Amino acid sequence: MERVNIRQRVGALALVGLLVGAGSALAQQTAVSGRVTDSTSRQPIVAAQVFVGGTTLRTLTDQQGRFHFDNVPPGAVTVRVAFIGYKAQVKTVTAQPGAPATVDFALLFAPIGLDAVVVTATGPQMQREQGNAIHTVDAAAVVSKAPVTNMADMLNSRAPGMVVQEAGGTTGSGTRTRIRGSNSLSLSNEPVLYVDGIRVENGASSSSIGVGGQVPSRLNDLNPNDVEAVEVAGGPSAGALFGTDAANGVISFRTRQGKPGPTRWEAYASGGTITDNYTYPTNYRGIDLDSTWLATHANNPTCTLVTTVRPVSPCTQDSVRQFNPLETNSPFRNGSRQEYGLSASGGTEQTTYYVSSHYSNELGVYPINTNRQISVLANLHQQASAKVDFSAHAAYTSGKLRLPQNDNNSFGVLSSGYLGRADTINSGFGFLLPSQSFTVRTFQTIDRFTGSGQVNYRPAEWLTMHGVAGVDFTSRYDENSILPGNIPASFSSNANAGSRNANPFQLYNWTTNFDATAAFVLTPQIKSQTTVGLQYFKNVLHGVTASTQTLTAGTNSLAGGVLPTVSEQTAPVVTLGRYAEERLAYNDRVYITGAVRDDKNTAFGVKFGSILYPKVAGSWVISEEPFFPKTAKLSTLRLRAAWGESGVRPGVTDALQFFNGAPWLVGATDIPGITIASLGNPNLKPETTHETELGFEADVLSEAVHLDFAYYNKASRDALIARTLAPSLGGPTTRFENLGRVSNKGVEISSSWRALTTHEVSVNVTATAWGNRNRLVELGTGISPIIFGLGGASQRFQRGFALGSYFMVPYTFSDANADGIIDTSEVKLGSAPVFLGQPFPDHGGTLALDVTLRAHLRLYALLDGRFGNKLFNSTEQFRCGLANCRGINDKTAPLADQAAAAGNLKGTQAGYIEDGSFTKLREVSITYFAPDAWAQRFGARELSFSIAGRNLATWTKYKGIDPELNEAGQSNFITADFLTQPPVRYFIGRVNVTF
Amino acid sequence: MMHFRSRFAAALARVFDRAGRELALLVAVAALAPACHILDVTNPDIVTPGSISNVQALPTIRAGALGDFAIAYTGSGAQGSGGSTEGQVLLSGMLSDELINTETFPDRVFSDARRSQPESGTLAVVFRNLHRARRSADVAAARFRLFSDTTTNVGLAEMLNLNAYTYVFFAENYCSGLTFSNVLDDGSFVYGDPLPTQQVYDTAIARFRIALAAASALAGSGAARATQIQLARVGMARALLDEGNFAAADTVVTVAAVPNTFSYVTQHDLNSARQQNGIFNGIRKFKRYGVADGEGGVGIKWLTQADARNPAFNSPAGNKGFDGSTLQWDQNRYLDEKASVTVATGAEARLINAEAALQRGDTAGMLTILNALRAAPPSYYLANGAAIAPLAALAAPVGPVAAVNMLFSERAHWLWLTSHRLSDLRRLERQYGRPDSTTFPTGAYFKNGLTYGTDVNLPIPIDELNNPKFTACIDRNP
Repeated sequence: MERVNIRQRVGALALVGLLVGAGSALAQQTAVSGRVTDSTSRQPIVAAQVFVGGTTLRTLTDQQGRFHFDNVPPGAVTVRVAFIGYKAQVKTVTAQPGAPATVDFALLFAPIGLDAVVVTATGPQMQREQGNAIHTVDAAAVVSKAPVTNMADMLNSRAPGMVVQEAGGTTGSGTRTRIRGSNSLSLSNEPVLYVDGIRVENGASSSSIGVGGQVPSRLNDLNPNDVEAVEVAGGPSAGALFGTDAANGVISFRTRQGKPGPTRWEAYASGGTITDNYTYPTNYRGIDLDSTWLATHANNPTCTLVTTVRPVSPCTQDSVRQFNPLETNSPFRNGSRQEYGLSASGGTEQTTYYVSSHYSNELGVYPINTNRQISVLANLHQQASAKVDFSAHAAYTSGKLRLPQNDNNSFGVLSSGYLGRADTINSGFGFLLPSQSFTVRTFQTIDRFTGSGQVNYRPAEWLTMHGVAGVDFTSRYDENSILPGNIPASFSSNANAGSRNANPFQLYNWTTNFDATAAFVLTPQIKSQTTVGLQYFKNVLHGVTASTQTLTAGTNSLAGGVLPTVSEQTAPVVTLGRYAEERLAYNDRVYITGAVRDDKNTAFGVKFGSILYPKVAGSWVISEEPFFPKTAKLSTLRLRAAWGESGVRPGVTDALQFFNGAPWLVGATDIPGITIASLGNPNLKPETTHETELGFEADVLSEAVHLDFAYYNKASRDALIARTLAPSLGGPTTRFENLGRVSNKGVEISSSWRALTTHEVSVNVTATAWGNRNRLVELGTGISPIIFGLGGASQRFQRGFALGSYFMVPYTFSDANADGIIDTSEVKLGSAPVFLGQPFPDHGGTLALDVTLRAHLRLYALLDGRFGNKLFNSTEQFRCGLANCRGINDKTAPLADQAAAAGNLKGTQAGYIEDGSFTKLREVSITYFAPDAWAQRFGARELSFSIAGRNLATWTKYKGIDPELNEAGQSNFITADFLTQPPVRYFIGRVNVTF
Repeated sequence: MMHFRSRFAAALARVFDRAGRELALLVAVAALAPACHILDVTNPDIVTPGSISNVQALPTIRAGALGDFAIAYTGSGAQGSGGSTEGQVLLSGMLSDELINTETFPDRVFSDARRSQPESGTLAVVFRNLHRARRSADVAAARFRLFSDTTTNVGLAEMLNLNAYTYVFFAENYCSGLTFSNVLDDGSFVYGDPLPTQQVYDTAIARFRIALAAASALAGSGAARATQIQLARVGMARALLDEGNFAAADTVVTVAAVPNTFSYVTQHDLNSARQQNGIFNGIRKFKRYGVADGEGGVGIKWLTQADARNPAFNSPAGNKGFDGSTLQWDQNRYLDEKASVTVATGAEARLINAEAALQRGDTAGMLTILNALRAAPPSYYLANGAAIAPLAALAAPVGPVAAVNMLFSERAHWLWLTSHRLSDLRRLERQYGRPDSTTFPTGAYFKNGLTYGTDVNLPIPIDELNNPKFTACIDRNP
């Protein structure tokens, strides 16, 4: 009976609405205006965001801090003002037709607040509405105080739960980014990137030329100086509406926008040094001076400590040769970095602009390692009318990077030194001299354009339509040349003859997104916003790889070669998503969000249709409830919870059965042939990850401390596993199947403490802590552990353990004969490989200190700690395997080192799985803000100087060079220190001038 | 509650009122958009099964099978840091006394030291490539049956022969307990049970018989037909020899059936890295393997003997292998990346005849056959077709041990770097009762502080554990 009544009422009201029409509603509207100022200085705040509750109305304050709304529904109106760095304010005014209201705001400084605006899949929303944590990085503030040389530096150690792993110290190389752990065994675990609403390329290991280890990622094409804020959405609960691929998290970049006012010119110049600050290990060789022994070991005159394995030809060690080629004949130089930038911004209330240009040139510590980038950016925003505004974004980056031969590479400099000699022959280098290695010319040239346009149309105060379309296009040219005669024929006749690779690639990302949001007041207490939308995303990689051997002397072109080969690759992927979201707000204190997205993707199997990603979230600002006690100890408390799903698509061709073209010589002619490439899987579907998140935010101790806590429980089901196939099937190595389940549970804690605020001194301390428990819950019935890693068998996907864990045969040792030497007979191996640790840290934290003295001097330092992980020190393991290390040659070496070396000879590298935990002093800076009088002498408004250092100190138990090394660079899981160039130290000075 | 619902209903009415046509249009667009072909993409780089299911595709299918077989046998041109260059010739040669390891990769060092690890990435790739070649030939044979005139097209017989040869390599070079699985047309897997080595040989022989029948059924008497018949005969005789069925092997490869001039080779080219001769690359180009000389105290002194059939050099003098410490002796049988590699030859047929004679106690007959071969070295022996000068006749061996030594020495030299030596060493232990210490390298390994282990064959890589019917080698016997 009740149900009938409701229907009748709905029908009646709808009919009334239709009859009355929208015109009458508009006729009853009114206006609200006001001014926003800083509570302390009383100066206007320009470009503060102003919202009218229960509507989609929003605007920015002008250069006098003023705002004005037309078309406001009459009655009690809630106006909310937010500006980054200030505590948001909400005021309610009553406006009636013919009697517009005025309301002014004086904002209090607060670095973090509930009313910060964050970008979501359905557009900008306030932090207080979010049921999940979205960590915002104030990029402009970071750039002003930290030695940020690229976007990875900008992200590194800024948000709890986001782990940016440097792999080495090569200028221009990329990093590995994980948010809330690794979800997928076989697919990328890198987060998705958005810039001003469009998705952009984030290819890891973005190069077709192998240099042994460190290669670029496209993340660093983005210039940190042009970014206003970075928002990190952790997992599926936050990223559900971003759709397929968002399970690994979403990082959204908002580039800088102009503010109303006269043109503001900002210029900076920075420069500094880059140094290698490590002590490299010495090469050892035990020698038996007995002439008979030497004669029988002419090939390899090494008499190690391990003598019992040489029963036929034992030796007696007479001496141990030592030489350190990397210290004695250091291949490194003091590198340098210089960067210059100029930007202009300003505009009117209707039109704002921001244009910038930057130039940077970094010379790494290898004499040939250079990276030059030029970027320009233009942002335009036009408020065409009260109902329509649009903005355009265009950015172009040009870069040229030269990479050295590194890591797992016989042409590498460090490999030649680490595995070199214990004498001065060939200057102690085992393979190439550094000068010879430096003749290999490996370049990557980038031309990247990102362009987008956005339109907001508000046909009524309750309806906003938003459209964005854009393209991110990268032209990437990878080339590698070895000129004839540069590499000795005795090392490689092939290289001596010369070779060249020239590989042009094009990477396209098209994004089109359209959504409409309707906002209305259900009751005086309940407001609603409903969004429906459609997103189209297309990613295409196209590349041609061409190479030739035996170059003609004097040429450096494919045309000069005599053995050309060519290949081509194309990888198109399209995602089409539909989504809807309903957000309900109760008294602007309780927020409930329900959403769903439906995706189709070209990479799904033919038998699979579409995938549905749901989401529900709630947020309760309980401290604003009347019943909540108002105390200085706890002034703000927000509780939140969210649950959502997202996914990761398979690879472009993973679902297909196909062959690759493979020509073969038959008789006298090469004819087209084929070889099986994929067995396909018609049932392939996306890997889905669902996440539950609980958390709270609180301001305590008279708002001196802001706390943010999040707990998440994330589980991937139908995990896409490149299942290793039994070789006896006669097919490819793997086939993608939806088999496994992966669990990630963890906490993220961040806090900021305004420890001291006086006119003379302010001290702010920011601390974060995080923990992540990653486990492979299920690998699939009948699937044996997947074994991989450096050397082929060092890491595993094994049920019950963290993804990529190290497994090796354990050993024990004892100096049974008490001779101070551990021989192989004194090392006992276990029967089977056992778990030895995981390659990713499982907890960590940061501590940042920001001290300002008399408003002119700022000191800043950032400590970063990561713990709970192991690292395969394959550098030392390999050196010992080649009888080059101390542990196998020097009887004064610790017994544990000797045992590790002996165990290595017996077939286990367990002795080289070492504690990879560390604490690093990442950044330190000192900035001087010159008095206005100084600036005015140059006709400027502001002037500041800073000196900053990066990678200044490391505390670790790791025995190798540095615990952050990874020879596999940005590889999904493979992690090992193997002849890897360690991170370098930066000292950079910077001058900022504003006109 | 009632009050709330009423207000909610009113609000809904306002929504429908105000959203009006805009929302309706948007919803319609969102609902209809996926129905179009917006998701259609094309990938021009791949070959789908449907595009090769016709008679026109048979040359392509054949070329594919030939390529897969050649890669399994000789390796490819990709540098072997990932273990992708080796084939049966290099791995079996290293485990035997033909080659030594001259590089740094531990898993291959361990293989050379007769301590192969089932976890070895190199072993996995080589093993997988051999199975790929087996299945590729099997699938190709099925296509030839389906689409070709098998009375005129030699393709069926050739594919059957290649398929059978893969079984020979499996049995000769790997431990007992091999499995042979299959993928059905619907993509489902049929896993094979572990087979004792004897059954693998039996399978090879049975498949050679089918190949022989297919070749014999071809019309006419062309060279292609003869080649396939002779290939089937040499392969079958080789497997029979492995089984110890010397007399049967002898009758399969009589001089009339398989003349000295017969040879079947894998072809290679510089057109792509994949097509290159992996033996040349692994030894001369990348210097990861070198010619041994009396390896482990009992190996043949390939360098010292300086036999014309086994040309090797160290140039420039003192040249080191990839490890920077081991003298690099390069083979000079396969002169470049394009060099062909013999799979089966008339010379091998004669050696089988000679061994059958030895088994009959006809040492003189054996010597006659061996000396006849030495007197007229076949022109295909060196890949570039260069002639080998006639070799001096061998003196009659004194006693049965010497006779066996002579036969296997001659086999070693004639069949150098063709994946025969490992099987011969195993046969010396299995069929002739030679102790391991006088057959395989033993004692101190020459680097890394290792001693030689006891391997006489390669283990089945751990990847095969993904076959639920496989657990481990049945045995590692010779």
